[in-house]
This record gives sequence, structure tokens and C-alpha cells, in this order.
Amino acid sequence: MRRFLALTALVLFAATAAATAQAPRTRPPPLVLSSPAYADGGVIPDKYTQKAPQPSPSIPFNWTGTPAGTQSFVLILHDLDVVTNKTLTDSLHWLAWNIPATATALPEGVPNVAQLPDGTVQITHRNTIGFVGPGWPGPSYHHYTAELLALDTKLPLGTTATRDAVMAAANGHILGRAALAGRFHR
Amino acid sequence: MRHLTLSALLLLAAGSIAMAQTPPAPGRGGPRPPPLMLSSPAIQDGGFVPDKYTAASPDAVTPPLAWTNVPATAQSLVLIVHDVDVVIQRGLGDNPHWIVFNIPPTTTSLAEGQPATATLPDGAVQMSRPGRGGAPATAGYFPFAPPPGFVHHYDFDLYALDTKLALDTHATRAQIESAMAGHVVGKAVLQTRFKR
Repeated sequence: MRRFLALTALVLFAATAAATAQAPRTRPPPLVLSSPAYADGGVIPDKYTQKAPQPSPSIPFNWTGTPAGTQSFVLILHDLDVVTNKTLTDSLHWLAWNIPATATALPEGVPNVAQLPDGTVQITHRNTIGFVGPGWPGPSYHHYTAELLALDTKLPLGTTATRDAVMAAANGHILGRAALAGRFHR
Repeated sequence: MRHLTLSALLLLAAGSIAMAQTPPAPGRGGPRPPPLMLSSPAIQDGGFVPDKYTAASPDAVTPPLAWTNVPATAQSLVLIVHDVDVVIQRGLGDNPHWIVFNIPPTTTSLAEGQPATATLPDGAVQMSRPGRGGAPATAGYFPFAPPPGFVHHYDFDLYALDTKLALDTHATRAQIESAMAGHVVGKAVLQTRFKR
């Protein structure tokens, strides 16, 4: 009887182990950022750039795969090819934070106000409000990457916060990150 | 006398027009020098990385890279290749796949298939990563390996520095970037993607 029980236990254990090993590792779908205006890695259309009458409309963005536990999003658009004062800091074109966790898009032409009705706060590098389009005047492309960060918190920052302050506050709270590559030159 | 005044006025006007047509010089340095540019004969800017340079291949090799217009003041170059879609412990730091520093300013390319050695023949240093579970550190390129089905973005950032870095292969990325700050005189980017 004891041997039978032991055998049964062993068989059950083995079966459980096999089932565990065979169960596919479930990875949640990735956070994916895209734009209806240009393909990933492509060229940003003139209408969203400094080639257009200023201020140009902001680039529309969409995303899918919001991680479980997301409390807010940060969206940053920056020119990777720029060197500022010999540092590793590049050039900021748009920073929006406290985008609601329920949002799945930023429409084209977000108004240039410090705070949107849904609570989203936005700045740019010159401490102006809102989106500033790509404007590199040189003969070759600059790389303008849009990055979406899903955070497990909302940021306790006012409308005068700097890029450094926003990134420092986001650090340690990032649940997911997605990039969309774009290029532009005049 | 009136004739002279008129001539002076005309000259002045002509000068103003000429000045208006000259593009404004950035800073004090006169015309902008041609920008540092990074490219790969194997990967299009904004395009996908061929399997042979990635974890999809059992014999992955480093992708070939070439650059032009190294600034005259450059003393060394740094290459940082990183996966920008990765989150590590909820922090801002992403995943470096290849860091090479103290590349001589006279070097203009990295051929395909660089060895996994701490130092390259031209004196450039490849950062090492500690091995998993106490395994020895390995220098050089770690092939791209996003989770199957996920598109990740791999940025190749080339920096020109007005100094050399007093660091060896065991320096961390944070130490390398901290030593670079204040010395960057040029930057070029090649953006790529990969999906298994």
C-alpha cells in the first residue's frame, strides 16, 4: 500500500513536472508604438516639420500592448544626432507625461497648452509648450526617435518640470518601452 | 560730394544684400563642417539587420561599419550599440550590445567579424560583460536576440571625443559615458531593427 502510494505520488509529480515544462512561457504582447504618418525607420512628412508654417501640427501616434499595471505614459521625441555642450544630452522636440493609462493614441495636432484636459503635461527643449517639429537644416538625415514609456505611477511634477526631472522621476517605474524611428532633414 | 555719399550708400546696400544672402554662421566658427556620418554596407539606415549578425545565426559576426567626416579636434571615437526597446529593472538604462572606445580618430571603419578580444589591432578597446553565473567576462559584440516575434530597435551611436578615455575593457557603460561627458565633439547615428 505504501509502495503504491509512493508510486502514485511519483507518477503525479512527474506528470505535473512534464506539464509545467511543456506549458509555453506566456509573455505578454509587446508595447508597440506607431504612427499613421510614417513607417518605422522612415522619413517624417514635411507637414510635421519646421519646413511647414509654424507651429506645425504634432505627429499622430498610436500604441498597443499597454502593460498590466500601467498608471501613465511618457512620450518623448528627440533628435539623436545633436550634441549639446559636448555632453551626451541630445535635442528634445517633445515631451509629454502623465498621459492617462487608458490612452492608446495622441492625435495629430495636440493643442500647444501646458496641460491637456486629460491631465497630460507637455514641454519642449526651449521651455516652450508642446510639439516642435524636426528642423535639421543639414544635408544628411538626423534621427528623430519617438519613445513611449509605460509607467507604474503618475509623475508628481508640475508644468514647469524639466526633461531631466521627468526622466529622473520615471526611472525605476518603467514597465514597458517602445521606440519608433524616424528621419528628417531639410 | 553728394556723388560720394550716394556711392557709399550703394556700397552699404550691396553689402547688406550680400550679408543677408550668406547663411548665418553657427556660433563663431564660420561655416558648419560636414557632419560625422555612420553607415553600414550591410544594413540600411532604418532597416532590418540581416540574420548573420544576430542570435538567429549560431556563428554571428559583428556587422561592418564605416564613417566619414571625423571632426578635426577628435582624439578618439566611441561606438555604442544598444537595444532601445528593453527595460531593465524598471530603469531608464537599456541594453548595450557592443561598446568600443579609444578608437583612433584615423580609423574610419570596423570590418565585419571583429574578434572577441579586449583590444583591437588599432588600439581600440572593447567593453566586456560579466559572464552569467560566475562565468568569465567576455569582450566584444553580443548578437541581437529580441524575444521571438518582437521587433526591437538597435541604435548604433558613434561619438567623436576630444580626449582618450583612461579606462580598460572592464569599465562599465556608466563609467564610459561619465568619462565621455564634456568631451563629445561629434555624433552620428545608424538606426536598425531586428526581429526573429
